[in-house]
Amino acid sequence: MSLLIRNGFVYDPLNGIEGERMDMATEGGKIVEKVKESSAKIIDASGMIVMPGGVDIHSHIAGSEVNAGRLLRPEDHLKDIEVKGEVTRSGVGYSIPSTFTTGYRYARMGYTTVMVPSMPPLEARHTHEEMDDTPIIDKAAFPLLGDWWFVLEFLKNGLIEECAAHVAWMMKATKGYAIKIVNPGGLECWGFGTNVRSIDDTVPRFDITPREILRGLCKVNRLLNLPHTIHVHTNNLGKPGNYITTLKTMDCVRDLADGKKPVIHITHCQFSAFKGSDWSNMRSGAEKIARYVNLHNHVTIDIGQVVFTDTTTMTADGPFQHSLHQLSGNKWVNHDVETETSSGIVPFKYRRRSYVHATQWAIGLELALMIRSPWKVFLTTDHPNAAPFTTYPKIISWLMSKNARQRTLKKINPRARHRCSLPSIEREYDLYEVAITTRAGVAKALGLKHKGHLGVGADADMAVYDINPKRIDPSEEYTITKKAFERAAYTIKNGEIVARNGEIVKPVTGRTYWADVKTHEPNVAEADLKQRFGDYWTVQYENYAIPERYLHYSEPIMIKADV
Amino acid sequence: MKNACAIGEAKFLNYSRHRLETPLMRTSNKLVEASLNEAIERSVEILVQAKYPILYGWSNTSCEAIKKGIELAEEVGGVIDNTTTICHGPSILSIQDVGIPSSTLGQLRHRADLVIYWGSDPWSAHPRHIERYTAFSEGRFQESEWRNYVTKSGAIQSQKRLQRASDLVFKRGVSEIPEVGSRPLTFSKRGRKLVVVDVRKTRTAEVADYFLQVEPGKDYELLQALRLLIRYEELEVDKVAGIPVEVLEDLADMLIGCDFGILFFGVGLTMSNGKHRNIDAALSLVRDLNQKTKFLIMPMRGHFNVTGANTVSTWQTGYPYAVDFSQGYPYYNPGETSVIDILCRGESDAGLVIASDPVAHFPREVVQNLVRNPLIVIDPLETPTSLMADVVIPSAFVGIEVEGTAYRMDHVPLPLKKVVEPPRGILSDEDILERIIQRVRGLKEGKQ
Amino acid sequence: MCKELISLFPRYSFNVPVDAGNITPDLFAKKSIDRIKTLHLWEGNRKRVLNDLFKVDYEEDTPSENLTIRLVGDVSKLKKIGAKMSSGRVVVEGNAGMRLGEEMRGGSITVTGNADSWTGMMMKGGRIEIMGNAGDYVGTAYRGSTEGMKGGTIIIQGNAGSEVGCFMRNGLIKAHGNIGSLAGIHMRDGAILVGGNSDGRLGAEMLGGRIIVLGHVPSILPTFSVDSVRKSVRVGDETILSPFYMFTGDGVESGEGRLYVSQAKNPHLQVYEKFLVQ
Repeated sequence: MSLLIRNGFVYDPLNGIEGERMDMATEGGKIVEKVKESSAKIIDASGMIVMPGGVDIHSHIAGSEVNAGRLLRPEDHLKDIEVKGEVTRSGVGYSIPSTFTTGYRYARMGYTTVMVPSMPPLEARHTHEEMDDTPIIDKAAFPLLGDWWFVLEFLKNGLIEECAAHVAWMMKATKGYAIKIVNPGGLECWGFGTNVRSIDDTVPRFDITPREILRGLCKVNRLLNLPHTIHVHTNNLGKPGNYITTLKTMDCVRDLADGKKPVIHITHCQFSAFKGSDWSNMRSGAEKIARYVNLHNHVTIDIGQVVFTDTTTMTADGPFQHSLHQLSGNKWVNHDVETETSSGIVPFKYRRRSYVHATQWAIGLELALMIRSPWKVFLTTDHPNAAPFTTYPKIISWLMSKNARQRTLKKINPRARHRCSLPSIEREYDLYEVAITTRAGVAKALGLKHKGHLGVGADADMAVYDINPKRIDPSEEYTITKKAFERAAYTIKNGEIVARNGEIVKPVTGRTYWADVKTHEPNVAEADLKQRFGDYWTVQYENYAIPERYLHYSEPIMIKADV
Repeated sequence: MKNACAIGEAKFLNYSRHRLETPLMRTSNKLVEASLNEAIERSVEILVQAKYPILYGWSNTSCEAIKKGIELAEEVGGVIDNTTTICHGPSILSIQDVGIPSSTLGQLRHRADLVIYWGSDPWSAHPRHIERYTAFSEGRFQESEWRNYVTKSGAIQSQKRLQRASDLVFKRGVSEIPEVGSRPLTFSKRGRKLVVVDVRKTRTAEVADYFLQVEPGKDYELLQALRLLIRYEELEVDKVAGIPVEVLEDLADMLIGCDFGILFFGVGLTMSNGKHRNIDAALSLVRDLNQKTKFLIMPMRGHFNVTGANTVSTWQTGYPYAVDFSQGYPYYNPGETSVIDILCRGESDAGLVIASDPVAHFPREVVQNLVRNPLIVIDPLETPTSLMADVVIPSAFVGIEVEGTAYRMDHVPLPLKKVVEPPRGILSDEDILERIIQRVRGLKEGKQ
Repeated sequence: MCKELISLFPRYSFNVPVDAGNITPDLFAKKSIDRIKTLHLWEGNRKRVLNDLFKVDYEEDTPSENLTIRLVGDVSKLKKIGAKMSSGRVVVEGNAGMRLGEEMRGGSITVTGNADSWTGMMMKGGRIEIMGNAGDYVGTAYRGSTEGMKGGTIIIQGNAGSEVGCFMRNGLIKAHGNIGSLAGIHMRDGAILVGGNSDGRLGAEMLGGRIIVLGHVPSILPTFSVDSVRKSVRVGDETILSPFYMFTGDGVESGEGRLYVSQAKNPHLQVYEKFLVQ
């Protein structure tokens, strides 16, 4: 099966291509130099842009907390339904779509790879089942390890290598891709209903600090040569004044960087960038965070942009979710996972007229606009926490157009408008930068070598959008830009056209990437776990690990560890 | 037979009895042997002709089969529902209104120092529960109460013997062991405390540290009263649900004073007067308790993979049960789209029952409405339901002859292993459903 | 041509549920009869046209704003009659099915027989009158939502089931007969007026609003406090005279709702009198 995409304006930042008019060819699911025209399917992309398929670094679309959210909110489903089509399954959901609908909606926007950022290891099987039922997009999942008892014990005793060996086992057992850390130390505290307040607080019963957890796992990450960095949801998320914790978090691993690659990724940074001391004087701390990120090369972030809508919050940060319930009075689900982690779900509505929500909205955009290099800052909404992922086109239009921002600024809480820096920011992203912040930069940060670019040998995952860069000025015509990104003219996955003008034409099966980490002596960690298993978990050792054949389309990434 | 509880053991060892060996079809009002293809064809005809078919059961099969069931229901425009509808449906409705603070079972084993069973008798229905997860388990932060139980159980037995002997001597009737409700609840005790709240003294109540007898049908009032008491507010009444307010105040103190509490509730709460509003109140009480201490709640679920049926249904359709696909998309409204209510009103015109035996469990009028329409049954065993069917397709036992996935009551997914091969010609539920789906699609596309 | 009165006669007795979401004055307005006959509706999983299921009659009259749709016969399997309507009239001469007037915004619906459950679910305005009985969940919110009835009036001449006015936010529900338990559960505002008896648990978890019961109530939830004895209570433009025990609650939600319960019909509630300030 070969494709020839003719005459589009190609944006391929990882290969330095900035809007050049050229043909793209694919064969056997990969990008190739050229194909035989007579046997290829031809797509006329004249007057349109061609980008690699979108890559989302952090989106809660599969797993136990997501499903608990779906169960919790039948009223959210009622208002947004998808009827069964010729080749598509039916579905529902505005902020937490059902699995088939999720895959289709990403594909409609030209996205082809999505990271599932919160996998409780004990329930990894559930995450994978849902991932397998999410069509089209390629995926990977991040197991939550920041409060895993084994990690806490090893790091407390300074046993980095033993810790690494066990993390390697866990990565393979859960078919995971990267180390996820959420409110390190705080989730273990939440097991008894408390929390940590700073990265130097001591976690009771384990006598370890969040700083030690972060540094320890950062070292582990390096020893294991995992493709991504540690992926961190900071302590004190959502608290006024927390930008200080975020700065400390970024800084606490600075010395572990080798200067070439990042060593930490701060996710949905907006929620961790608050100045002030309480809700009445809370302000944007984006400037401080941006300054740090601009000066240092060992950090990447994603923004977690708020959009004013009725959505659902869901994270592994049990204590934070409980406080959100207390703040909002909305219904609350809590699900702690033995030995490992926790989670919480609370519906939430972001209002323009709310000082705090409007400030949050400004913070996300300020981060994206104040951080100079789009290779360090990526577009997300921490779906669905700050907004559903279907709002990405709207956010792109805000990034690309000061006018679009002004239009929204006029309607938000006036005090928030006066106190934030956003109105004075002139910068507008161009298409090249959009391609970086939604594709190229993301794939690079994730270490996905065949994604996010259109060089020969890359996976043939592409999106064609109906925007003519010669005719459209995204700054003025932001509505056109938004519409174009909402409905890709063509979405191509593995060299097959899966969507056309927003209609799914061929729902293919996406891959599940996972890190197949080879340590020197895997048996040692395995034996240790086997022996101690029953003291920790209430399932049998034999039932814990997921066999590869369980995944519909397993795509292991072979990694050799230094341990 | 290691590791299986008494119920699991029975399932394993009895499985070869009343086994269905071949597909059957009803001809001239008798069930006669048929080939698998004939049975599948007839099933497909029944489903495609129906204007409002129901697909019911699902709780005793694997997640893989349940996925196929949902696909089939969507394909034929029917209603798919599982046994939640007659069991913990009320719990789910309440969770949708209130939410639920909960966890996996291991959290309780490691941390819980106060365990409450409300309207649930695990000693009879979930024999492994107390042993593995709560009062008798060894946790990282909490010790087992096993030894105490053995001593106490022995003490209870000997006390009973003494009582019977003394009754014979003094010619009295058999009298009850004095209720511990008369003992002050603030009796401090090291280690885990086990409390049972029920309308009568169950076996679990006998091993408990405290037992509270609640007036039948008054759980709602009791739970609401406790919500007020844990905020140190006063009640105007003297008694709630037959229990003096002073005792309730002590119970409230115990609830607030624990380090980590867990409330398990069963059908005693879901099925009594108030139904899902009882659960509403229980969830709200536990939610409110989280302002003071760590407290969680969990339903004690019955059928082995009902949690799996809910979980799979939720991620694929958005809804945990009672999903109506008749208009081409999932619609959910228990009471309207739940199978038992549809059958009550006689609204369906065909049925497929899998891994369940409604004829044995549903009320009579409901059963009549089920069997008067064409009925397909997929099951390993001959059951009262299969005897009333028009098409019967034998299937393999999940977890014995077929591997798959199931979800534990606390949502932990577990693999089900295959131990033996199924008999020749017997397919898995998943395979049978897949065949039906393919034939339904073929029919719709006009192919023969 | 705008018809004033359109009558629909079911051609046969419906067995599987029929979705009548398209049978509203809003959708019939300004359409020709032939066009109306081809409006879609679902019979179970079959997509039909109106004419398949109903004989459509009309009375030619001068065009007027007030379009009336008349359903004649047993339409108890017909769901969502008058859903989302904003004007005009619907009259059911017989029994109506579930979800009558769901999300209604204006106009009126009258049912000469009984209505099934979920009458007036998520209603925003307009008027529903049931001559017979109604089922459960009158004027309720959808599962998981806190947005119940926000406006309008529902009048039931007969009895109603449980959870009348669940999550009610405004409007009036009046039942002349008896009602089931848990009326006004989670209520925020609005009024529920009951001429007959209630099965109890009035106003469970309410935050605001008023529930008035002229008949017998088995008990009051322990989390309510007695406030006073009132000689009368005013609902809309109606003043009801009868001494009432007035309770406030629900204490568990720090609610400021009020229950007015007939003193005469509830002698067992005299025990509360000792808490009244003399």
